[in-house]
Amino acid sequence: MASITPQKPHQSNSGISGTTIAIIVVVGVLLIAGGLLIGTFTPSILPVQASAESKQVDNLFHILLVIGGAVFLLVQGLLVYSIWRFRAKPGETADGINMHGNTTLEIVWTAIPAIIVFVLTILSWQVFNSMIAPKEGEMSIVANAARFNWNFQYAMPLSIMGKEYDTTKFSQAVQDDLKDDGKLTLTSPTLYVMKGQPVVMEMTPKDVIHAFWIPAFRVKQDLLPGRVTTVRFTPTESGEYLLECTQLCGANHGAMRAKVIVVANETDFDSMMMPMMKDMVEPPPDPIDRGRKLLASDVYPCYTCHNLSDLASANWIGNVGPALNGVADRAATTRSAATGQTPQEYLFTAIHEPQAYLVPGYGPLMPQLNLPECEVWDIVAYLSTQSESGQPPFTVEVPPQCQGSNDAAGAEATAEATGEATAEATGEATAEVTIEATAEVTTVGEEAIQQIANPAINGTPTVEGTVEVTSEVTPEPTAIQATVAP
Amino acid sequence: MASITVPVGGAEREIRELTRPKLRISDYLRWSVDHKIIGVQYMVTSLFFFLVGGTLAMLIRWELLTPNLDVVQTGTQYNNLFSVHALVMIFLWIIPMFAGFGNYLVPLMLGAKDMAFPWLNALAFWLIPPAGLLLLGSMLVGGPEAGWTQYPPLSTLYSGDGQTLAALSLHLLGISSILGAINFIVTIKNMRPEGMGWWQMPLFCWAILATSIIVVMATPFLAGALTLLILDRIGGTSFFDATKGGDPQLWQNVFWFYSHPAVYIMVLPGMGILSEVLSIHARKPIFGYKMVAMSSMGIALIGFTVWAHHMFTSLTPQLRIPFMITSMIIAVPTGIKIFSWLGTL
Repeated sequence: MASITPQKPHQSNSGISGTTIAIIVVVGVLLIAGGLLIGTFTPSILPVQASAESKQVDNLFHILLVIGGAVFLLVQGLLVYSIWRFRAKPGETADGINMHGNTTLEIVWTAIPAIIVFVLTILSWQVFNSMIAPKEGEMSIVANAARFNWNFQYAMPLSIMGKEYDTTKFSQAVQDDLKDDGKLTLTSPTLYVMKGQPVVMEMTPKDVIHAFWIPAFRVKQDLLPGRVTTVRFTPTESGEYLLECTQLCGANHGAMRAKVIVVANETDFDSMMMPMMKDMVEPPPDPIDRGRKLLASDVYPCYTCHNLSDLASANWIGNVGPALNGVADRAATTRSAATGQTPQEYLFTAIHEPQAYLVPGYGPLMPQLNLPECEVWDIVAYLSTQSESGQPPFTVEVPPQCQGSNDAAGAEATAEATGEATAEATGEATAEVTIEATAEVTTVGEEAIQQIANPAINGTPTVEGTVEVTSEVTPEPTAIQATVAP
Repeated sequence: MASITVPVGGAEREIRELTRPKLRISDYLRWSVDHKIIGVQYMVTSLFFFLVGGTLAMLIRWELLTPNLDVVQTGTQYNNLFSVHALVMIFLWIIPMFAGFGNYLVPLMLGAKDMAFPWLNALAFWLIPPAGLLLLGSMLVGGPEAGWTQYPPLSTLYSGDGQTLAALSLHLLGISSILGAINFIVTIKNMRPEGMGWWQMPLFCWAILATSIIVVMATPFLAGALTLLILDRIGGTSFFDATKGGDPQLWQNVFWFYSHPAVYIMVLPGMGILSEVLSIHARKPIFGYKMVAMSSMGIALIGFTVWAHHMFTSLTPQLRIPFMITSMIIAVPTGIKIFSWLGTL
């Protein structure tokens, strides 16, 4: 060894003088000030606070930031100070002082973090308990997740429609739904919640693990197969937010999002629910229309894996499963030959029990979605029109319990008749439409549509004929267009 | 002191230089039971896989340059990329790299001739190249696509055959780590020279000891989880399939019971290296040696009680509190280390 280090005590034992205390106090104040500074400015990069929970979580985070900021400044400060103060001066080649430790100091820097941890534990515990506690009058919404789409189910009373219905005329499926609690289950791809209304989400995935995360609400909860998990929040700001899946769920995980809309009050909320309820209690009479509308609404995850150019406007560009263009032709030929089923049975099974038969080249990836059977029949009816020629290669018999009877005439009348029935879109009175002959049907239909499209015309188209249609249906003009087309 | 070091004199040194066989590259490419050769083998191999993993990372970033699919054709391929990247970096880079450091340095630091079980040591190393090839090969058969955490049912019912190969590869790597760790524990316990008690041992050896204890205790849980995963995938069982009575959360518990301690497998040797390097370059003994050594053991111990903080979004809410507490407590020994390093300076 080149030089001998002067012997120093192996334990430092600096007595605490007045100066030391003064320095500790000044440094302490500076650290807390620095911590507050960090704690105050960092939250500005966080997402908006749109729920009661977001405020609680952010407050806790603010405390963490202040403490963490002070500790950060202390550690970095000591590091920079030590490197500068105790650096090797020119000409110094000997070892540094031979100090092995200081028991008091070691106890202090073990105890202080322990105390901080203790305090943070208590604070976090309080916030967490309040977040998971059931709230008074909370609204229950069911969330379903399947690769790669969300949908949300609400139980709503028929009264939101603001008019009386003869419930016996609803389709059997709707009647069954109403039976237990007088409420209808409405399904939406958008999460609607109300400002100030506590919500409890009851969530199940249909396939793999997904996670429900709304950054603006600061809530996150996994959806686990085989369990119902819950998450609670109370929105406090109206607006539109984003819900994202945060548990890797496969190829399109990154696109598995949903809109969250916080409406200001109950009236607005009901008006969001009404179109969904209308589709249930006043469905288009033609199952083909119902099926198309259902698929185009993005309520179910079909579009995330399948491609269908007829619906290309509505996200239908998935590439995980077989494309559905021309599916009716295949169902009528190769698929029914392979499965020994009729084309419509094949399509029904393919949706209802996706693992029963796999299209060659595709794996068993489609989940058991457990859609209501009538909805599956509507989808099958619509898919039967997806052929090369544009003509359905087979006719789909939708089971009677799936047909509502509010379109009494619709069952027998041609699709065009529905179009005319809507002439009363602008009025309260019952529309009386008469059709002379099939040959003229198209013309009449177009006339009717023009009248609907132009609310100024409040008349009733009358053509000589015999068919009488009575309906309260008020379909949108676009829907009619679809039915009138040959 | 029982003995003192005698500097090697001129003549003696010359003899050593002459008698020491010259090492060739080829000596590193074949089976060897020399701990230094094995150490270098570990480090070079893991460096190679680091470059492979890094290349995958570059592909990921390249893909992310635009929102469209450019480098890969499908979302699944993208998931393959980052899953393999993660597995390579964790199991073929960080963990074996530190095993390399341990192999090279621990016997030297202890003044031991070699590791306690040289042959086992070589075996542990030679399990790594086939495991690495298996993992990279998995990308050719539909790659693992469930991330490094491989959560079922995504990894069981929805992933390609690559997932099975990746699980087998991890099995091999697990065996390699366990063999290596047993070797370290026995070496450190039995091959210290006379006069070097536990409290005279270099801090890097403490870190390797703590790491090895974690490896020996935790890795069998990974092996268990992987076995169930492979059975679910090819054996027709349904441990994780909720539709048949299984539970996907089982995987999360068992997997994290290994993988959280694995975080400390990855960080403790690094902390040990830091303790040594800092002390040498500050030319001062480490401040609070016993506390630093004990904090390594403390982290190893508490590390086994925090696994479920990776499941804060899936765990039953009431169970999250105890894991929050333990997760915060583990900050204390880590803090001790940092303050001791500052004290050293």
